[in-house]
Amino acid sequence: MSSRAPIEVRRESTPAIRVRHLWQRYGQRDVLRDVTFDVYPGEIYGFIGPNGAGKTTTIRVMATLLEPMSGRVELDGVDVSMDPERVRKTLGYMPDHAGVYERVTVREFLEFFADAHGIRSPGVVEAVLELTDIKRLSSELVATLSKGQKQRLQLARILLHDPKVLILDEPASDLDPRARIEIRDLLLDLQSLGKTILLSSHILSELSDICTSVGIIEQGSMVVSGPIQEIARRFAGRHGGRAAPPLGTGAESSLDGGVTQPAAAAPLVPELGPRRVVRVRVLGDLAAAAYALHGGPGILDVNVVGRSLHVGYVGGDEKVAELARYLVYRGFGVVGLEHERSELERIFLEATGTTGRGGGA
Amino acid sequence: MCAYLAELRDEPNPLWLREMRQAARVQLTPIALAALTILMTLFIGGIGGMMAAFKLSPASIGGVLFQTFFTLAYFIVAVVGPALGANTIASEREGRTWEVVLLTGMRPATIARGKFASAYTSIAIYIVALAPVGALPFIFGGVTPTEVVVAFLVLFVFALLSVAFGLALSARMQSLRGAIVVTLLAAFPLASGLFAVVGPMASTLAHRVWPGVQEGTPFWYPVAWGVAPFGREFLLFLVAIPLAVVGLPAWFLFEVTLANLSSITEDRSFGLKRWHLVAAPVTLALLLVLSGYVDSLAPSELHALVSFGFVAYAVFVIYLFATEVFGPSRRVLVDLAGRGFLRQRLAPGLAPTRRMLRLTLTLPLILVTLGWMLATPSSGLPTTRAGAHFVPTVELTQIALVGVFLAAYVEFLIGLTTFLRVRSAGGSGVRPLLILALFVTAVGPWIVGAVAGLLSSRSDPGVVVAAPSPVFLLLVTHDALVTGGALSSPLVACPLVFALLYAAGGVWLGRRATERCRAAIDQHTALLADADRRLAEEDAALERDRATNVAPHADMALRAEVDAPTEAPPSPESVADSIADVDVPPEA
Repeated sequence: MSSRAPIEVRRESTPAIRVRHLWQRYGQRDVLRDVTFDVYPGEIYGFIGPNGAGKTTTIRVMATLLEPMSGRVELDGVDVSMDPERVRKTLGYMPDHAGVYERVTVREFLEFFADAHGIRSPGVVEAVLELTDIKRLSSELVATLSKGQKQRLQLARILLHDPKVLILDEPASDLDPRARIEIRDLLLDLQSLGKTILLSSHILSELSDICTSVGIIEQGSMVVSGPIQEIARRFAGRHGGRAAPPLGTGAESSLDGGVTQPAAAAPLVPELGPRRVVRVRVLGDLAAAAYALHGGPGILDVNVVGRSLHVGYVGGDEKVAELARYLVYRGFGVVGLEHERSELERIFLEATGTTGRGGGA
Repeated sequence: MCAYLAELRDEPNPLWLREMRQAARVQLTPIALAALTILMTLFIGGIGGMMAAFKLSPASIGGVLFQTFFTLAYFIVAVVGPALGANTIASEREGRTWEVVLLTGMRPATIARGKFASAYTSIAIYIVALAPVGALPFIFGGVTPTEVVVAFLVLFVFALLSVAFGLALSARMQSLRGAIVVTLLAAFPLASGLFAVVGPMASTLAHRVWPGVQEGTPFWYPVAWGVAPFGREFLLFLVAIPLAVVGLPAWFLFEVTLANLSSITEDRSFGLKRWHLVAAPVTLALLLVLSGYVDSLAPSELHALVSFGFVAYAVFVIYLFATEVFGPSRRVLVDLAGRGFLRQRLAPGLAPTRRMLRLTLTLPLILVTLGWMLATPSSGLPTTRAGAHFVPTVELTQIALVGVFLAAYVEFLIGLTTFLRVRSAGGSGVRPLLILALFVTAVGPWIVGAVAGLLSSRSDPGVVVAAPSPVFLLLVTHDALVTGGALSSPLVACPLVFALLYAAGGVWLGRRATERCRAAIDQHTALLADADRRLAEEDAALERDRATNVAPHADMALRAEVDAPTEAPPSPESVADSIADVDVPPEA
């Protein structure tokens, strides 16, 4: 895939997707309760929630497939209830487990949808085949494609009419790791082409690498929505935090060499950000390595857990790099560094913990 | 037509193209076609051989083979056509491709045409594959080329209806298996009824006009083309009436398909209303024309025949529009703004639909009755009943009674259905209740009378218990008038009283319903306006925030931190209660 330029999200502009006070009810059950959020042009917005939280219902309203009971949804400034035809021209929607026509070739499949969209230009199918990297499969019957290839084909389909907004419902579900990575890269490419992307998932690792903003929905209500960094900062502000230990005091670090309980949920250090934990796999004497790190700048605590160190710290990735450099400098062989929990996972736990309704639906 | 064909050539329907490509890759299709043709050939050949053994003339054998082949072909089309139609949209839904097709922006009409074309092409291939077998009767003689060609045309036209029938049901079903089962369960009895009842009945009428047509044969139409001389009857019975009999159901099925494919915020009833505006006068005209060819009945009996026939159509139409929406959605209102007079008059909504039904169902019954009374001679009427001499006053009284009663009855059904619709949140219970009301009013009184032992004699005064039933007029009042019953006699006066009650009840129920409906629409409109106002206020607040450089996300980043809004949005209960009715589509 091509190298990507950093994407600038234009938050001062009109939102590409505006969902406002959306309510939906099936029978006597409110499946959406006053759902409100915005997605700005150029964003990759992760729509997160457990199964049954209301993600698909919200998405179906956005995709003009479901009439909202109350509230308003606008895509590119157009009300989905009032002018669904116009919305459909600016929208590419990939449903969860979307079906395909098995007995046509990949090219015929795309040609059908191009014709259905009323696209006259013959080069469009060729272009999306190239873009989604399935040109080599163009003569294959759709029935013979793997799940990942079918998912790419679906992405190709929704790109045919060059929509501004892409809505993908669980795009990576049932895919193997390679296919997930390929889809993720493809989405980043599409973002670099200026598309606004909303993708839903209940698997946080799918979203953590690519999303610029997230919205977490639970039991029909939006718990939190906005840019990831902003949410993290706001959580920090809400929970307060404890001061970073002064360099060299080591007051907060535990260094008993045994297995200790992790620190309380995401304590925060004002201005430096939330507490993070990185797992460091080190060759040699773990206790010595822990001692070396203990009390370093920004290091909150160091615990030996199994065959690795769990280092609590404040700061960004630079801090992790600094930590690795220091260990190598001190003669320890660093063989692995891994964040204990991604930012998104932390946000999710914080947000759902806030509402007191954890767990899946 | 030329433009349509040119479009078909230059820009063929993408759904049709795709389905044909898919069908071409099914290896079983040619094998199935070959097997069907071989089996049919063996069967027809076997019948021919058996008949030859009985020393029948070749011409007779040819005639029998012709009837046998086309009867079999008719039933093959009657089964395969609906099944193919049912397979179209339901398979997309079951295969989870339906929504992505919808989102391409294709109009429901385009989708319906594409699906129809693909299913029709498939059934046409079956008919073409059978064509060589259909030519076998030629070997024996007794069949003209015109008859064979017309018979195949009939098959193609019947295939059109059968595919459209399957498509209309498929548009409503979610599962493929369900669609096929329901379609076949409905199609087979219908096709059998057409073949066993309607065909022979029509052949009886055709036999009266052209004695060369054999009476009682279901497949008489191609034979009539061979024997009927060109003239007024030819054009009427072999061209105009068949066109209406095929065209109206085909159009109806197309509109039903479109209605079922459209979203709930679209105007789903306009197409059906447009169809009804044509179908109602055509049905009435057909009944009037056919009554002109029945010379064995008195004018009052013919009037009753025409009126009851039209009431049957009226009941069907009332049932069809029983689940009409309260009023147009906002989207439809916007769309209607620039439309013409007719389009606006046929807008979705209970009140305009009731008005339309009264104008097109009740009024024609009254007009036909008045016209019939004017056309009925004042004296010297012939009679077919031994011993009974009709006098004009009796005839006119009977015509007037039937006309008034049936018009009142239709008015009552319209009012009752409108009332039931308003009382029903989703409209789902309206149709069963309408059927119940029909049963209670038309059959119920007779059951009550039979249980009470009051139906021993038509002249028994106790029989008036059945007076609410429209059939009472035919079975009891007519005889009472003929035998000298006066208007004041219970057997004549009671139906009149019930007619007045039906009319008054229908008007009252209809008015109550439209008032309630108007109130619900007003409430809903107010709620929507309120919601719009609050959203506009939010927009203004957002603009102010932007002007003061507050991050747009700031107000929504943490719902837990946001204080409860000072003015809550409309509660889902209030909105649900109002829009559930306004936006529920008619279930075609």
